[in-house]
Amino acid sequence: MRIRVIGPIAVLFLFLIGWEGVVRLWEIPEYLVAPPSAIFRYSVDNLGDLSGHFLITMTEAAAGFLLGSSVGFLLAVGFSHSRTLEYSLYPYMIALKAVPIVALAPLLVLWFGNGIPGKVVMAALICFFPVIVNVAIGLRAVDPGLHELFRSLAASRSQIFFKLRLPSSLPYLFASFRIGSTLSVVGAIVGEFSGARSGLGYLMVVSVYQLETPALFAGIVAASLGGIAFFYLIVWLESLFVHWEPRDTKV
Amino acid sequence: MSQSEFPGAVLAKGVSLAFSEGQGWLSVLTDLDFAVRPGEFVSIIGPSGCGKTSLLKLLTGLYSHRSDVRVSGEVFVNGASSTSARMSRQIGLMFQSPLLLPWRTVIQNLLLPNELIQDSPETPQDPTVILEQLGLLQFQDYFPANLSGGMQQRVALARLLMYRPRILTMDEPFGALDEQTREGLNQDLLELWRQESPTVLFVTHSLQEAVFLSDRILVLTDRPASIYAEVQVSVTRPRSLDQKFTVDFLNAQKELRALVKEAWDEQDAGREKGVDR
Ligand SMILES: Nc1ncnc2c1ncn2[C@@H]1O[C@H](COP(=O)(O)OP(=O)(O)OP(=O)(O)O)[C@@H](O)[C@H]1O
Ligand SMILES: [Mg+2]
Repeated sequence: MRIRVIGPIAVLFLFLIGWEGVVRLWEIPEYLVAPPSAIFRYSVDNLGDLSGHFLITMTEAAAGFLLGSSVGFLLAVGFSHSRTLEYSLYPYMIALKAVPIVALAPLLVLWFGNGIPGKVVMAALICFFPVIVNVAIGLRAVDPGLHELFRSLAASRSQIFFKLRLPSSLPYLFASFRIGSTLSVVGAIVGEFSGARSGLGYLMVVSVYQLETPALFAGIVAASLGGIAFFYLIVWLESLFVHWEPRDTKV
Repeated sequence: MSQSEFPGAVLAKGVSLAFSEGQGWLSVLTDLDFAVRPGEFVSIIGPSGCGKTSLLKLLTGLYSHRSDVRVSGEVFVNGASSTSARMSRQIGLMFQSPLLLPWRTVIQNLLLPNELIQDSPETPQDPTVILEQLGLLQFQDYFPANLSGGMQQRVALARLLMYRPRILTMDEPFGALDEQTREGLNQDLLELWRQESPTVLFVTHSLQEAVFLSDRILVLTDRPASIYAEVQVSVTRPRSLDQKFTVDFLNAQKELRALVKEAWDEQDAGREKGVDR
C-alpha cells in the first residue's frame, strides 16, 4: 500500500532532479528549456497572475463541459424517445465526431471575440460528442431481461425511462464525462491560443513571444494539474453514483 | 359460469406460438390445451429449448402487441386476457435469472413493484414481513452484487410476493442453485403457498422438485411443445423433506421418470423415421 504512494512521488522527484541536472550540466539556455527551479521561482513570484489565468481557463472549461454535456445528454434522451430524430441526426453526430473541432477556434474568435464566451463554446463543442454518443448507446444498452421484468410489473413508458434506462446508462454517462473533463481544458486552451486577453492559453502564447520560457512551462504545468483535478473530480462523483458493473463494458 | 371466468384460473385453448425467424416462423408451442384451477400448484416439465419460458411469458402477457411473435388460440388468465391480467398485476412472473436492479439495495429492489403501481387499489405489502419470512432481514441494505445466487433468487421471490399476484408463474427459479439451497427455498415456497394459496405454474427440470411441490405435472414434448401427458401427484400434504424417501414419493417419481422417458423416446423414434423417408 505504501509503495503505491511513495513510488510515484519518488519517481517525480527523480524526474525533477534529472531535469534540473541536465539543464545545468549542459548549460541549456533558459529560454529553450526552463529548469524546475526557474519554473517554481516564476510561479511563486507571479502567483496572483498565474492563478488568475488558471481560474479563467478552468471556468471556461467547466462552463463548456456543463453546456456541452447537457446539450449532448438532452439530445441523446431525445434520440431514445424518437426514432425519427435519431435516424435523421445520429449519422451527422458520428460524422461530426471526425471533424477536428479545434480547427473551428479562429472562427469562434471571429464570432465571439476575444472574451470568455468563445472559449466556453469551444470547450462545449469538444465535450458534446463523447456525451451524445455514449449516452445514446447507454440508454439503449438495457438488459432485455430487466425490460421484460418492468413490463411484467405493468410499468409505464416513463417509469421504464426513469427507473430503468436512465440508471442503466449512468456508467456510460460517466465514461463520457471522464473524456469530456480533460477535453474541456484542451478546448478552452486552444480557444485562448487563437485570440484572448487572459487565461493559461494566452499566458503561454505571450510568453513564447517574449521568450519567457519559465512562464510557458508554468502554464503547461497549471493546465495539466487543472485537467487532472477535473478528471479525478469526475472519478470521485462516479464512485458516489455508480458502484456496479455495467452489463456491457465496451465503452 | 365457465371455468375461464374463475379468478385465479388459467385456461389455454388450442394455443400456438411462433417467433419470426429470418423469412419464416419458428413454431414453439403448438395446439396447447390445459386448465389450471384457482389455487392449484402445477409444474411443467419439458426438454431444454422446448418452449417452457415462452409459454410462461405468453401467459404473463409479455408477447402481446408484438409483430415478431404470432399467437393463435385463446388464453384466459384470471378470467380475462393475459394482457389485462398483467396490467392489473394479477399474474406475476419469476424469471429464470434473478433480474435485480444492480443500483438498488435489497430493500429498494423489493419496493420496486410498489413504486410502479399506477392506479391499482392493491395495498402495498410491508417489505420487512416478507424479508423476515425469507430470512433476508439482515441483508436488506446489501447490493445484489454482494449476495450469493441463492440469496439473489430469494430477493426475486420476495419482490414477486410484494405485490401478491393471484397467479405466480415461475421459470426454473431455483434451477441454478445447489440442492440444499433449493430444498430450503422449496419449503419456503410451499409454506407461502399454503398461507396465501396463489395459483402456481412452476417450470422445472427436476422431477423430484416437481413431485415435491405440485398437485399436478404437465409433461411437454420437444419443440414445438404440446402436452404429452398430465400426471396427478397423490403424495399427501403438507409435505416435508423427509417424505422424499417414502414409498409413495419414490413411486410417483419413478412413474414420472418412465413417462418422461417415453415422451422423449417416442420423439426420437419419430425423428429417425423422418430421416428414413
Ligand atoms: N424472442 C425470441 N425470438 C426468437 N426465438 C425465440 C425467442 N425466445 C425464444 N426463442 C426460441 O424458442 C425456443 C424455445 O425457447 P424457450 O426459452 O421457451 O425454451 P425453454 O423450454 O424455456 O428452454 P430452457 O429449458 O433451456 O429454459 C428456443 O429455440 C428459442 O431459441
Ligand atoms: Mg427457459
